[in-house]
Amino acid sequence: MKNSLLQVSGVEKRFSGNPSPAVKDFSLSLRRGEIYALVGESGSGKTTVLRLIAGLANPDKGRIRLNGREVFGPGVNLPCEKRRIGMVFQEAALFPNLRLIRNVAFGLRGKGAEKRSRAADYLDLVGLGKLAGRYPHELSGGQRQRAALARALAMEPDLILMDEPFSSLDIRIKKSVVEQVGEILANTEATALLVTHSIDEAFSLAKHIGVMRDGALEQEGRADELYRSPVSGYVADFLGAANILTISEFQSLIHRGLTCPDIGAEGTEDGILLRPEDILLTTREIPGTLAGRIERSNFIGDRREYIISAPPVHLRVRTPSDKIFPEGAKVRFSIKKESLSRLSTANLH
Amino acid sequence: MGFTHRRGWLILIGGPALLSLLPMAVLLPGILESSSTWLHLRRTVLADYILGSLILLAGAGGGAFLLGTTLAWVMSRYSIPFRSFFEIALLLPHAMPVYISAFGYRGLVSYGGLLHPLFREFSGPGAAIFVMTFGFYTYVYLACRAMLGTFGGQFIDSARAVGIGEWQLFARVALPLMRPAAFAGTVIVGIEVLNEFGALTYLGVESLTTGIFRAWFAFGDLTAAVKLSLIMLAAVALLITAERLLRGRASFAASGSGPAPVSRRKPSRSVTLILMIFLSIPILLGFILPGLQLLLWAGTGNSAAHADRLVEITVNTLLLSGFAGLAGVGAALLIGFLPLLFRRGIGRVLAEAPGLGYVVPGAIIAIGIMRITVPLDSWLNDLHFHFFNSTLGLILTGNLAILTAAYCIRYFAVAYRPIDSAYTSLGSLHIDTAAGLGRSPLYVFLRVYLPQLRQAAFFGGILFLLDVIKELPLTMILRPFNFSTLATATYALAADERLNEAAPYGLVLVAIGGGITVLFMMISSLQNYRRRKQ
Repeated sequence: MKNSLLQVSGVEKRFSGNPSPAVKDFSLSLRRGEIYALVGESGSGKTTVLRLIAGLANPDKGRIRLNGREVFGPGVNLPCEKRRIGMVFQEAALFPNLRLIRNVAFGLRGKGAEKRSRAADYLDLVGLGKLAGRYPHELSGGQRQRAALARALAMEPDLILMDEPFSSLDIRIKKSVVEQVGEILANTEATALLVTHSIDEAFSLAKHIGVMRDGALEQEGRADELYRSPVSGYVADFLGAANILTISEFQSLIHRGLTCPDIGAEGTEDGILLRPEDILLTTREIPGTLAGRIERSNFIGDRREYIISAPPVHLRVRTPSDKIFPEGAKVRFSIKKESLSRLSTANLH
Repeated sequence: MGFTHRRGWLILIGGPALLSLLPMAVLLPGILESSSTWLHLRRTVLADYILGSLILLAGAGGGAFLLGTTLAWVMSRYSIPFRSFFEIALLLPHAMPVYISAFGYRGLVSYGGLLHPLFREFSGPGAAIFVMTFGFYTYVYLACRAMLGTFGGQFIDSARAVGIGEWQLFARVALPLMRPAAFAGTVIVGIEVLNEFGALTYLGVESLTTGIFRAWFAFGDLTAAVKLSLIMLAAVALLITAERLLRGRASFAASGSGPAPVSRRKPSRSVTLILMIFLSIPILLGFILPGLQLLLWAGTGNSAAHADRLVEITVNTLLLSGFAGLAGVGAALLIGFLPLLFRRGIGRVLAEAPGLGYVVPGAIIAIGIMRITVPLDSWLNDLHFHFFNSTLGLILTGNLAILTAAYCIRYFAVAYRPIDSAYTSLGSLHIDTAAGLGRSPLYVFLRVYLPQLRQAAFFGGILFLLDVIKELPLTMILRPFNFSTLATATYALAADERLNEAAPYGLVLVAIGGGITVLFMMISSLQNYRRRKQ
């Protein structure tokens, strides 16, 4: 791709004492101004990918190009300091002995006054202009994280790498900090690669998402594509709550009278993905609905989640929270049209 | 290249770190060598040397173990009046070198001495074990205090919940809990016992160390000294192995939440009195009594006549140990950075390597260094003679820079420990962050790490200084001709039975050491207080 800012191709990394590679045959491409989220379970290799791109660790093979120049490849290995990359880590990693303004100016070159005014500009940008004289321990977690972002942005890097930047934040403020960061990144038209285990953060910051598993990229694409058409049960699960049924389980529901789009009969070991919000609950006996029993009912704020048993399966269902069914109640359920996606046998899990 | 690159650190810092093992390494080929002195020693006194060292190890090691553990338990468990006094005073014997304590006691029991009515004799292995026990127990005591202070609480509390008495609590809970720390402390005591030279010659006890000195000073035979050093090195290795085996897998860690010190108990009046007497014994025997004798001598002697010399030697000592302290702390700061730069093994190995010197008695390191410098000097002289037809004399041997390097090798671990734990709590993330901001390891070392290591460096430096000031065997062997420190001056004069003249030197040495100890304790308790207040 010509206009890609970051191009990672065929990268592999093994750690000594571990038989399987931490990252294998990994390729990725980011366009200028894009925000991309790399998600996956812990140990899936996403942080290693970040460190390889940053130059904090070296791949065993593969190439990395950044802004038109090769930073890693055969005979090429640009040190981290020279890659023009900005980084934001989990624990903000502000230098505790330096005031905020000095933290932001840490990497800047030039005269003292110039550095200071540029650092002040970036502190203003993240809304911390008034706190320039504070020490890191005098800031809240969210402020620290924004300061770390200001420090990274002040370098005017080609690419910003963020490693779980929000995971140490208090749950109450996390959402607003994520939104603020999204806004700042958009305003500065930065290109950013975010690594996170939280799909919510990925959804709210990134248009493109890559799901990693066992050191490889399992699927990537737009968030809604991934949500609707995951290639595997792993991806389906990662993007949100999912009911995954085998074809034969699903067909037994149809035999008992459930109306739903035709899915064909071949491949009886394949799977069907049903998102919890695609199942509708009612108490009325409407043709095409099927009987089930409420096993558990959880209030989750704006919605309510039920586990219903409809032998041979249990289904997770989400409804608006004003629809209340008591535990043990008999209900009937149906499935929204065009909401099924099929998973092949090999990728059920 | 240089310090701005990781590889620069590996070579410029990691290299010298490994080089510190050289004095020990050069001794090893000594196994194959032989000399007439060695054959003579082996035939005549070698068995006595080994037996002497073993008796001292068992006696002083056992004594320090018992004293250290019980003191630690009493101080951790009971609220006692004048607690903060005992807190500091119990460490004072650490500032009293045992060679000074030994000649102090000789004075106390001699005719006219304070203890003369009770004892007439102070010499032999028993006396040596006595002064060593009361001089070295602090190593066991401090290790056990730290152990009980960090997480004794949860074990003690749960044991009390099942209703066992105080004696049982000590024997069945506290002692097993302290055991790993106590063993580790006792190993250091063992090394100090093997290191000790002054007290033994003074009390007429033969050991491997006195043997090394005799081989070197009396016979001038480096080979024999090397042979004896190797035997001693084997003894050290045995000690450490034994400690590892005894400790087994019992390296305790607190389960659950943070540190929980032992909760204190207020004993009955009579018990309080008994405990206070018990706590006073080591202070009295390890510090006050010998110190008092020094004072008496200094008062009666015509010390004014030697005032100039005393000032000169005090300045010598302070300059040398201050310089060595700076070098030691500097080395620890630089070398301690390696594990952060190289996270996969190599950094840790390089940083821990110089710490090995701490378990090697000073005489051994000194002999190892001589084995390097003596041939180098003779080679330099040959070279000079070849070109200029004259000799240079000894350049490296008996050089203050070499002596400083020897201190750094011997006591690196002392300065390194607090600095390393400060590095560990800071972590290596700052290096990565700085790299992301285009800054080199050197830049982040200077701007971020160093400013935050000031306190650890200060503590490490103080402890290092304290050890260097007291150091005798290394200094004796490696000092320049006619150069004295308070330690060598005290020893030399006392060995000549010029006790009145020796006393002022010993007194100044103890005063400096005691002053540093008190200052150190006060500063660190102030720090603790501040931390608690935050």
